[in-house]
Amino acid sequence: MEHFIPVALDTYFRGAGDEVEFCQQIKAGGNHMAVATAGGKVLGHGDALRMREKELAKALEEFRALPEEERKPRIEVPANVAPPRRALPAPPANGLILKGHCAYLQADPAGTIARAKAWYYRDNPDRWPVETQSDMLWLTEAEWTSLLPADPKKGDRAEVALPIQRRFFSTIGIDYMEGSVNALVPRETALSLTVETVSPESLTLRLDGAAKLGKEFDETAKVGKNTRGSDVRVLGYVGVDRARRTITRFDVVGLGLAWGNKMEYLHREIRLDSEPWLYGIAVELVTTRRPIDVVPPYNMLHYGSGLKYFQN
Amino acid sequence: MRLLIGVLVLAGLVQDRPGVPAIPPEDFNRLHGMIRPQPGESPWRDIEWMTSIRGARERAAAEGKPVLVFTAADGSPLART
Repeated sequence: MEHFIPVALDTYFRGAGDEVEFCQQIKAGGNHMAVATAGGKVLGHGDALRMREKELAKALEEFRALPEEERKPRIEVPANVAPPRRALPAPPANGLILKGHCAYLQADPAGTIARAKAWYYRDNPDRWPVETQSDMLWLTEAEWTSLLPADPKKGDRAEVALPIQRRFFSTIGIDYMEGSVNALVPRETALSLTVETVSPESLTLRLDGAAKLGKEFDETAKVGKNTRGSDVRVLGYVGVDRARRTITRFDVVGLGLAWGNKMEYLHREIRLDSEPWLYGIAVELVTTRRPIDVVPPYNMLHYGSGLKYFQN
Repeated sequence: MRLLIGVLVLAGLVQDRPGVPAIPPEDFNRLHGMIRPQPGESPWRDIEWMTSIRGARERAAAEGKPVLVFTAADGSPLART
């Protein structure tokens, strides 16, 4: 990728008028990939482009054959450019960004949990293996500082504020391996922090929790519409630098059982043999602020099930 | 009282879920590492993606490189979709 400038976009948030116009010019939108000069000349196979080395090599060859004024065009933004129709949210000021991951799991006869192999469209000759999915969780400054005990003593235990519980479990505590799935409305949640170790400089909190989400399981989940649900339990460790009053670690593991079909679709893109099936989540702290680190949480913008992301 | 209620709810939720495996603390690190993306699993995620068309065009013009635009229909390709 060193020979290209890669940019990834949510189709619904392509930016200001000049940016949308550029995307329209090169037909960048939907589930798609396009290569073009900065001036908007399409390269490669256009609509059929995939991120395969031979196709990108051809696009690069075309690019290098162009005159310099097309390879290094002057980029001008009109003075009266239309602002974005939908502004991409930015993380809260001094907020906490967590990154979650989701994978399918299985237990061997001895009970050891390991990754399970699964396929998109497994009955299709062109099937491909599923990949770990990832998503973000944002906490405001007030929210993450509320997790820090004022006068911590070993063994002290406190509940996590309910809005944080609901946001955590309903968005990154679910099975989101199929990607475009809605947040699951929590039926029950519990999440607490217990002081494990404390010193003048640092603090370690153990996170324990569980939740029941979405629809309750029954045997009709396999053939019903909008029947998704899950049961999950979590364990985590939060590290705190007391002098700087900052969170230095936020690692969480979750194991859950999930079931059902998303939204109005009866046939899952990823079919699994058992129902309910086992899934896992892993969460970690994001400490950098590159463009890829500040991508908004999925259910903040899509399929939020009516749950307000930041609740009072 | 709220703390007591919370502890009781948690205990009830944890117990009342036959089939959901427990998470032994001694297995935490292994599970965490195993559920995270595995090395080499998704090389495209290791790319330093930009998220602004205008910024990408300006940089491409300055460096004399083509722009590669990756879009997803329902969300960012860098999140879940």
